[in-house]
Amino acid sequence: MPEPPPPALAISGLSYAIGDRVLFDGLDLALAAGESVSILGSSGSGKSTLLSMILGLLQADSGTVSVDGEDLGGLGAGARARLRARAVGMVFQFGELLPELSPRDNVALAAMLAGADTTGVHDRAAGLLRRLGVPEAATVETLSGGERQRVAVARALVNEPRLLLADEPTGALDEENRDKVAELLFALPAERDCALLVVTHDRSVAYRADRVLAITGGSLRPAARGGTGR
Amino acid sequence: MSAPGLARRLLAVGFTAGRRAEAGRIRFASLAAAAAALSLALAAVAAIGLAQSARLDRAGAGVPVLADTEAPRSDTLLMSPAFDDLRDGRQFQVFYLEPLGPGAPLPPGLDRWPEPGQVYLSPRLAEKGADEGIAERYGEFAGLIDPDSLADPGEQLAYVRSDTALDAERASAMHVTGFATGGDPAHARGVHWLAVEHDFSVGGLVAIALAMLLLPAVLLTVVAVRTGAELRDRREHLVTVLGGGRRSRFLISLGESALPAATGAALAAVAIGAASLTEFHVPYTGFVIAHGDLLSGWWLLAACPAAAGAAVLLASALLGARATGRRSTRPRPAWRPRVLLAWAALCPVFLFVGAVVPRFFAHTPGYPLSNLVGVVGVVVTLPAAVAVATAWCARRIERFGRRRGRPALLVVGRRIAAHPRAVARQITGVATGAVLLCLTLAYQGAFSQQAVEAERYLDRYGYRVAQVGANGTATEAQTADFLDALSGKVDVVSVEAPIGPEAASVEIAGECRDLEALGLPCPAPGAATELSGAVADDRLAHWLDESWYGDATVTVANASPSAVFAAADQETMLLVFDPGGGDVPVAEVKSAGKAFTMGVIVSAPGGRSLSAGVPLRDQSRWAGLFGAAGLVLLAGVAAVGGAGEFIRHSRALSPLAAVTGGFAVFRGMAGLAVWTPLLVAAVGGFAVGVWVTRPMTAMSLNLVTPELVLVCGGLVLVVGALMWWWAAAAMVAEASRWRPGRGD
Ligand SMILES: Nc1ncnc2c1ncn2[C@@H]1O[C@H](COP(=O)(O)OP(=O)(O)OP(=O)(O)O)[C@@H](O)[C@H]1O
Ligand SMILES: [Mg+2]
Repeated sequence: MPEPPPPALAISGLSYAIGDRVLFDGLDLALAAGESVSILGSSGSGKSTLLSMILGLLQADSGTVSVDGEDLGGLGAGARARLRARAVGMVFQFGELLPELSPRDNVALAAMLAGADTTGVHDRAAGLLRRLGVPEAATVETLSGGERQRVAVARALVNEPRLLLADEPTGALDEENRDKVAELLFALPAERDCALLVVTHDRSVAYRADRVLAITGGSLRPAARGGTGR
Repeated sequence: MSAPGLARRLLAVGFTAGRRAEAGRIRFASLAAAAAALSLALAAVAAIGLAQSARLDRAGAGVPVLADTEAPRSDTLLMSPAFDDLRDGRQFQVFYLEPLGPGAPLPPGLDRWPEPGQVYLSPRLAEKGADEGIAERYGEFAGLIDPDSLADPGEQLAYVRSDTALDAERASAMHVTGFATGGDPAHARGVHWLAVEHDFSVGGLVAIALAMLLLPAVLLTVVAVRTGAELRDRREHLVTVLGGGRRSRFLISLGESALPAATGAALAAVAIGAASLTEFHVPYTGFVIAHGDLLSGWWLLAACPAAAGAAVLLASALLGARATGRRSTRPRPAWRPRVLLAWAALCPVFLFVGAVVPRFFAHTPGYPLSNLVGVVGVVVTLPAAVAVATAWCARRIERFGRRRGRPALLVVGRRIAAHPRAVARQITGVATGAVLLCLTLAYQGAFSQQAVEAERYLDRYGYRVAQVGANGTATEAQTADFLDALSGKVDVVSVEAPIGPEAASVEIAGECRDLEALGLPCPAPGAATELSGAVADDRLAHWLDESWYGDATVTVANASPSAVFAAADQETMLLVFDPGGGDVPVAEVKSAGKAFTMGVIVSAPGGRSLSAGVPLRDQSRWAGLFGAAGLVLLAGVAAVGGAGEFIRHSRALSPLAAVTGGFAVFRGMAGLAVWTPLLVAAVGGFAVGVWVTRPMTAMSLNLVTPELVLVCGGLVLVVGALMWWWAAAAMVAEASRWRPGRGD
């Protein structure tokens, strides 16, 4: 019997304090491929900080973070970057696309920067964009906000990551686009066999996830939704 | 809050903002560099004026007051000038002095009379001529001329008190009763006349300084103000949104640029101060500004950094605000590819007209004319050609990057293809600078035709035969002394050739030994034979060729050259050969010349002298110096501008680079955005410049030397490489600081 694949993301006993302010105190999280989770939390609760740690851009005081079965703590900066490039895709709040490039080039760029094998990357990018319903365009400047954010999603997917992170992915969108992008995003884990972690303020987005968690008291607890407690 | 209180607060806000290490301090450094460059450019113009007026004052003090008929002989100095040069060919004057009585005026720079046979030399002449034995050339060295009396410390000048009486009737002899103060410095009888005559025209020098230093410095200021200005623009926008008016924005801008502008101006002030406090050696040109010349105008020099700092501050406050406004409202003028393409296509046509067509018009007015048309056309059409070529190359680069998966090539190629103007402007600036530098030097060289021919001649023949004549009169005894001093070291014959309409006839006279050394027959003493057939010695044959086109009848006489030389007039000279067939030891011949009252004059066959072109050659070094400095400034402008653009447009890549760890992309991008345009500009600019000036430089002194091109091109590339490294490091640092959720 083959070994079960490692979880896309495993965090255990994570503790972090800034000065005498304890942000995380023994925080745990396990996320398998095909699964999605949303993290809610009040402003300043440490959502972005947690993302930094998952990306390996910030070191915790104690505890471990493993991505795709590899413990980030045991890796040097270069190896962390390679793991990130291979296994993690990220959707940014403002898309952060290069305005002069076409949608397809923007997507392909992520593969080039990751140092991945770029043969056939343009076809792959085109396929992703078609799948996500982005029209062909000479530059992303002419696209609507929702279309641009879908380009950003395609870009996060181009390296076929095991773990997809999204930081306020709908923060800059109107209601209609927000729903479209959210729907598309939460369909991905099943479709692409990856894990999805979304950080958001927006409850209507958050509750599309399999699990909704909140940072409270330094650890992740299921978010209260009208009395649905533990 | 009171108005002055608010103003102070706004200035302080700007000041604090200016101290943030925005864009790896590139903005700070650019503003400081602009202030420094502007200070130095202004100071250079001021220094030219100061040094020149001080020189002219001193030169004016060397103009003699000539005796009228009533002047008593005892108050008169007899002064007779001769010309000489060192191996470098630069002419200088030797003044032979004879005080006719106790009241004779001392010439400027001497505090006592030299004894008969004694010599005073200017410090530079003594130093430069040391290896040619200049101290013994005219007599016995007695000391140095007071440098404070010289036009400048680099002046070459000699005073010789002859031990025999000077010829008072000689046309150039002057009866001097005193030296004027405030005379006309260019007066042809002045002691410093030649030094002034050899000068680059001051107007020309100022024009070059303005065009090659001040203009690029102004451009640098304009570009620096817009470099790394994103935060500053955001700040201005915020102030506007919060209800701040123009005045508030102006004050914040002032505060923001105050520190860099002051830093640059202060650094320049230190350099200017250091130059003023010493005897300043202008690099490369060999010119020395006398100690104190600059200090005399210290207030003018001090005003330069102050004005430059103020100019940078103002530019930052005014241009910053205006540029921000323009970006948001006015659309950019349309890009008209048709017209542009037509202009661009004309560029190679003009290049052909300038570089190749003149060949078909050799020795006719069509030669310079077609060259000129080509040159002007190239300069005018170059920007369009660069823009078209830039856009074309950018598309190629973009496509290549996409196909090969090279992100830097893809991103920068795309960026430039979409907005080619900025890069085209950078390339055009530097390339035009390179072309103009070549042109300036080519025109400078074109005026020194004579010198080139002489130099070429000397390259080929050296002084294998030298013509020697005496300055002033020569007696037989003096000539015999002269020949004694050289005996065994050279072969000497005298030649006499009457000048006139009749067919050329040359009489060569010499001792048997010397005649035979030249392969000439030796008739009986006192007799002469006409030479039939060719002259065997190629040096002598060459001399005949050069002087008489080989048409002369030659007579050979067995007689002492000293007798012939002393008896005759200017139509007689001595020909001196090296017995081994090598070069004549000119310095030794000149030194032996002190046997004559006023020394000898040594020249190459045909009376050729290098001297005429030497000042031009030396002056061209000013154009070279200012041109190289200006080119470096232009490279700085392009590099700073390129770095600014690069940083502005690669920011969007920070998050992606941080997540993928692909920071190397910034190095590639900066290389392509900052360094490559300079490489293209330097290579292209100098290639066009050298090619288009070839018709000029091929026929004259070529001042556009490979060394100059390599050094200038190299400097451009170094400036570019520095900014490449800096801009890339700034972006890598910025991207490594990226964290999720910060919103920038
Ligand atoms: N480098 C730092 N130094 C000091 N405090 C920091 C640093 N980084 C983050 N913090 C603090 O840690 C807390 C968590 O920050 P974080 O950005 O993770 O919050 P967040 O949950 O993402 O908030 P938001 O929803 O507003 O984005 C904040 O109070 C912030 O001020
Ligand atoms: Mg956050």
